Amino acid sequence: MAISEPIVLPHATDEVRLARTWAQPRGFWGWFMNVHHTAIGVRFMVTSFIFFLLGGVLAAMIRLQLSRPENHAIGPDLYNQIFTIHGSTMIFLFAVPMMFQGFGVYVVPLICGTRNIAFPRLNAFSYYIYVVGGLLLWVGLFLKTGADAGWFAYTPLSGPQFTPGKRSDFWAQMITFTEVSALGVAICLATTILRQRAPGMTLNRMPIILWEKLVLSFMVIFAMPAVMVVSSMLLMDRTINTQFFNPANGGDVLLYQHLFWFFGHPEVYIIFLPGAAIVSTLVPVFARRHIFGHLAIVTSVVATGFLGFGVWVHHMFATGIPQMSASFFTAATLMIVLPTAVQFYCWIATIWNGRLQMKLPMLWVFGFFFVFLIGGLSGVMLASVPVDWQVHDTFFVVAHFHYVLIGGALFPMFAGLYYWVPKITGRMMNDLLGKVHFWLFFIGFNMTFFTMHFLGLRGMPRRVYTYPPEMHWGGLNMLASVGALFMAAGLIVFIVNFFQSKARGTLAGPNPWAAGSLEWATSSPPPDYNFTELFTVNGREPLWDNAPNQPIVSGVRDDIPEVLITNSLDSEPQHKDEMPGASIWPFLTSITVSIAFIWSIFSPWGIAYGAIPVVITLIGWLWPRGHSPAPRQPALEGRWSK
Amino acid sequence: MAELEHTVRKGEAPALIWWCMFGGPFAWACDLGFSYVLEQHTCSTGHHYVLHVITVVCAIIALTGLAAGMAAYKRVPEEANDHGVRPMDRTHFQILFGMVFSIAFTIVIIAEAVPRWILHPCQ
Ligand code: HEM
Ligand SMILES: [Cu+2]
Repeated sequence: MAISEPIVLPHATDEVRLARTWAQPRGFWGWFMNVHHTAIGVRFMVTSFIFFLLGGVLAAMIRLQLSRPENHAIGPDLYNQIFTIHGSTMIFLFAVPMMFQGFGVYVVPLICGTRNIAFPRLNAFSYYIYVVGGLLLWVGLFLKTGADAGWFAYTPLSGPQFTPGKRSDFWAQMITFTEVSALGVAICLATTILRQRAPGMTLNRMPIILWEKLVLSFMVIFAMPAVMVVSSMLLMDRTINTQFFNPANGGDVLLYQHLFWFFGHPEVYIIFLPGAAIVSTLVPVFARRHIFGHLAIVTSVVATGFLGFGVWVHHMFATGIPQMSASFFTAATLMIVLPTAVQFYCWIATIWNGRLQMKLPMLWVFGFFFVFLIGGLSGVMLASVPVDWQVHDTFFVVAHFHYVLIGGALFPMFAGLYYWVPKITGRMMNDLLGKVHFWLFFIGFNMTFFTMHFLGLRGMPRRVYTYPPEMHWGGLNMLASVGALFMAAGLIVFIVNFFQSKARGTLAGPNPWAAGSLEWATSSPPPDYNFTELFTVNGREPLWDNAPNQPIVSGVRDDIPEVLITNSLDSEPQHKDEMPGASIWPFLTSITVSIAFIWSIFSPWGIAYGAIPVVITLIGWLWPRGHSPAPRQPALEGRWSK
Repeated sequence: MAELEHTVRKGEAPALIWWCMFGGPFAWACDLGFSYVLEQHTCSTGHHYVLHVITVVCAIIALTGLAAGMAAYKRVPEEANDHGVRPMDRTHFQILFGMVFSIAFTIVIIAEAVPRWILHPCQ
């Protein structure tokens, strides 16, 4: 007799059917077909963390090279490539993909209480295209074609005249890849937040992190095209002799700076706002109370989203812009400090009025307060024009921006990882190792970068591969390099801790922090279908505020991958939508798109001929198939009054 | 009242409220954009007053957002709060948000006016 049908206990049917419907494909090809947001989100995090480590290796090489005067271990040419690829990797391949794509893709659908992200295939495509972009930059480095014009690749330096060869082209196409990826994810996240929130999570009850991801998605949608345009124009100047940036033929080098910084300054907030949102998420959990000033924080986040687009000229004060025009942007720059200050007050007020539990993630939040504050203070110093003239392009600036970048992104990132890794792996991270990691990193960080303030004040310029002993910069540089060792040791402790706790950590259970948002309402790690029952929400912290008889959503089918669609403002159930399932096409499309982009570095025909396979894979992707189920109105079980 | 109620119940927001929320940033964007573009022009023509006109007009536009918010606020029932689940609660939240926004962006517009009092456009 053939194998009999598995016997399913009646009360288990829902889970079993859901598991079958939403099952993620396994095996080698399954990996390339998976479109579930938890899998893709984890991949974004892991990949960007690997790029962080690679960028860190370059940073270690920089510190090794600068540790003593007259060091010729690394020559000027290689040094240029190293700091350029370090900066570009950290910004484009680590900070944004980790803070925006990684955390966003993993956490947002769970916090919304839905079963998958909107447009899951676009989301998967965004991941592969990002990986190819990152590999491109790094393969270039190993082929001795590493970008070397600094992380913002100003023309004319990066143009055909001063950077012959393919170095700037690799950099420019890396930008295209990573920004296509960010744009794709922005569309997925904005749609998920606007249309897939659990019933009851009205606009006024949206958790801060959803507000922040929504604002961020719009910032990405408006900012990234500027940099894609500018990097494509650079590529065209270099490959098909357009003259966009060549003043000799009526081009304009300043056009490059305008377009780059129209993206570049919002980018700073695209890196910082996710960090701030992690802090806004963690502070109420560990202060055991609702966030103080929800409305104030929301207005601050949205205001930052707008103001971030009106300050870009402050990067171009040295370019001869008329004084009064420049000062409009100075005024806006000073005003954009206010929303950040408001958020700081709200965090402190929440902690002040709560019962603080000093758990591991909170340690990193306090590290963030301290480090970011110092970065802000040196920023105020730099905003004073005479000071800026003195220390412009010195290590003072390097110190300042690492305080804000590492303070604003890396410290909150580790807070977020210690907080959400138990959700992702199902096991707690070790507390003691976490503390060792924190103190090694914190001390090492301040050793490395606080010293750089003094180096800058003593005149050490940035982007130089060595310096003569007579300048007496050796001692401080050695101190900075030793600090980098401490940071590296801290990172090793983190990695050991991660793998150890993943294998043997104590089980986390659904809600180890007794937190209030919906991702903690399901098991850790969440099942492929995220939630067995679809929740409704009764406040800003659903798990804290829900009534004992809180209704659940019924009528969403479990035999096909269906999600509930709610309206944007009131999250009222509107209809249901079938999610696309696993598919190989996003991966294949990313390959054909990559071929076209990379080909275009070598020949403009790459775009023309390369478009043919792209179209073919897109047809495969969009080919209609399967059934469309008879629409059935979703219903809410139990009491649901307005 | 009835009209607002009707729109809000449908899960939408009347234009008045959208204006209250985003009139401020719109006015600020106009202020920055026009001032930046016309600065050279005022220098070459000597019509320096144009820059002050931009400030005044844009500040007024931002303040109409506040006015719209105040008008809408009067029509929201007493018991509405900013964390409830009813569409009126959400509307209440939107109006508060918009009024804060209108005031905040008016302040930014005024901050951007300060250089016009001190500096000369041809500097
Ligand atoms: C983890 C330890 C890190 C160390 C020891 C380090 C060290 C350095 C040093 C010494 C420079 C200056 C090189 C020079 O001008 O000669 C530099 C440049 C830079 N770093 Fe880092 N860094 C670290 C992490 C990061 C992170 C996390 C980010 C961003 C999120 C970042 C972004 C940048 C950028 C944008 C530049 C400018 C590159 C350029 O001049 O084009 N760094 N780093
Ligand atoms: Cu900036």
